[in-house]
Amino acid sequence: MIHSLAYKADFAQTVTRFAAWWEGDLLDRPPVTVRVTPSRPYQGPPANHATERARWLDVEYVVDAAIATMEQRDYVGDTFPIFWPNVGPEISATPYGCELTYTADTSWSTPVVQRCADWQQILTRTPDFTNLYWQTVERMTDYALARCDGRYIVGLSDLHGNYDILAALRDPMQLCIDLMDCPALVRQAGRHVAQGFVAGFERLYAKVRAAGFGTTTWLPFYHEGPAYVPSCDFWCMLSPQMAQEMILPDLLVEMAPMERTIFHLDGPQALRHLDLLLDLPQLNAIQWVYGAGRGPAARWIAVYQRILRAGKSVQLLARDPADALAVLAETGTRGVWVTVEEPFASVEEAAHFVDHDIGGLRR
Amino acid sequence: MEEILQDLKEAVIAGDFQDAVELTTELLEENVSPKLILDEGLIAGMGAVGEKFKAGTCFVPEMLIAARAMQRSLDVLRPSLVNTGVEPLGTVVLGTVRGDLHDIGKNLTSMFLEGAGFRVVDVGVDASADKFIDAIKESNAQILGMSALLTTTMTYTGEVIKALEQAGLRDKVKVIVGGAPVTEDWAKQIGADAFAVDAATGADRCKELLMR
Repeated sequence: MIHSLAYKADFAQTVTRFAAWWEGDLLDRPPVTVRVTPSRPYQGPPANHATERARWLDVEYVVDAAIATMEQRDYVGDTFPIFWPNVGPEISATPYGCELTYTADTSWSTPVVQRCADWQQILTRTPDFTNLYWQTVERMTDYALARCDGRYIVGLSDLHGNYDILAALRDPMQLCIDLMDCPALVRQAGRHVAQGFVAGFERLYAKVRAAGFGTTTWLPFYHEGPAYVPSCDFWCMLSPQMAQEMILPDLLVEMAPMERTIFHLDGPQALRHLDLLLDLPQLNAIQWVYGAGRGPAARWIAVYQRILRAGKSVQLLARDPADALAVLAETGTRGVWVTVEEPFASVEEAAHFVDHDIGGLRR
Repeated sequence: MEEILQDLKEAVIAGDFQDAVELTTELLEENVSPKLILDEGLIAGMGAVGEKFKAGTCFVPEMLIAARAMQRSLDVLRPSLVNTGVEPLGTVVLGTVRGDLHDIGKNLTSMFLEGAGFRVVDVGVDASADKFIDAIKESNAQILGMSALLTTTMTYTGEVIKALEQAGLRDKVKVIVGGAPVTEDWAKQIGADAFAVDAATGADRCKELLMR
């Protein structure tokens, strides 16, 4: 177990707080992750690439810039320094032939399935992890591990799964139509890519495990063994019946190798599937993302309570400290991971919130 | 004839485009008025699907195949509509704003608008203010519909409204906005005339806008 990081001396306490949170339990206080406006200047490499694509895929630049950014920051509460390689979440579709296109802050995939019958070709394809994008992620992981020197944790890439992979391979609207026109083929493809997701996860996890790390990723939790964030953004368009019959079995395939899981439930339209998740004994926690313009978190107290009552832990994405405290007053702190999205102006303010405001709450 | 019109409506609701096309052809061969086929078959079918969607008993895949059935039938019907001088309810320029490549909500809205009797000029995704303005000028549209799925692109809807003002078009065109992060408050803030929470509601709101 890693007890300390150069940028986070008390990391061991964070690990134990998360360990309790995964179990729906509570130690001295709930895990709290916050941001503090950086007080030190960025001293990393400049971005002077000819194209956005070149910047996204420049292994040394991406890692060195991330390290420089980590050096700027202060890690208050249970926030800890993480590098996770990111060439876009559609990376999971690249082993089936998808090409990625980049802009300054996002990436998207070019569909390779043009008609229903093309799913058959996907089914015959063994995922190819030697493609440029996947290899870039692996090289970023290796390079970040080599440069780590006990300063930060190397996490896993953002990996879309199951029907989000199919949506990247086909286009979301066409996938919806395929679900009606050729459901059996789509169902087989869903299972095929879910197995590919597991293979990809295991490749990346093996690397960080060999370096002595547990798991973290774009969602900054920690677990000493394999853990991840199962998700399906596509299912917000589907009926509960279709979600249960088509998506859920593949989600379970993807969750099988994980010791801990937190589901990324994104947007009010996905809430219709919450009960499906709450019935899953394998699932530890839910990240409820109410979405821009639909906050603050205090508007969604009933959802947090529903999750907690079902015995699942939850990540509370609060707009600001007052929003976090308003929710905690109703839910209590057990099983809640508190994240405040608005940056604190100083380390002192952030520490006061974590130690005094949250630490002082009745357990 | 009434029975076939009802069957056409049901075919649209079920998303059975082969039946829908056959029934439309049959009705035309029986010299049924194209306007009646449009109103009582296609528009009625899509209207029913929209109501089911709003009630939470129909979902996007079912809506999409219903819209496909409607559109295939409309392809068969359109020459007769033109020949008999049936005018669309109005013209809507529709697009996803600059920087945003999401199109499913925009496409669904387009289908519901066509299903409600509108002519739709779809300017696609990643549409600039100039592109919207050119399309409005060329089509004499009464309504501009803008979709944004990202908080980062949502702000561009306000930029387009400012550009409409600068181009002297704001008084001539009503503006409706929608998309996941877009809210009623946001619509008011940028000076839009309407907000739609989903595609089916979007078509309803556009009909209301024409009345204003």
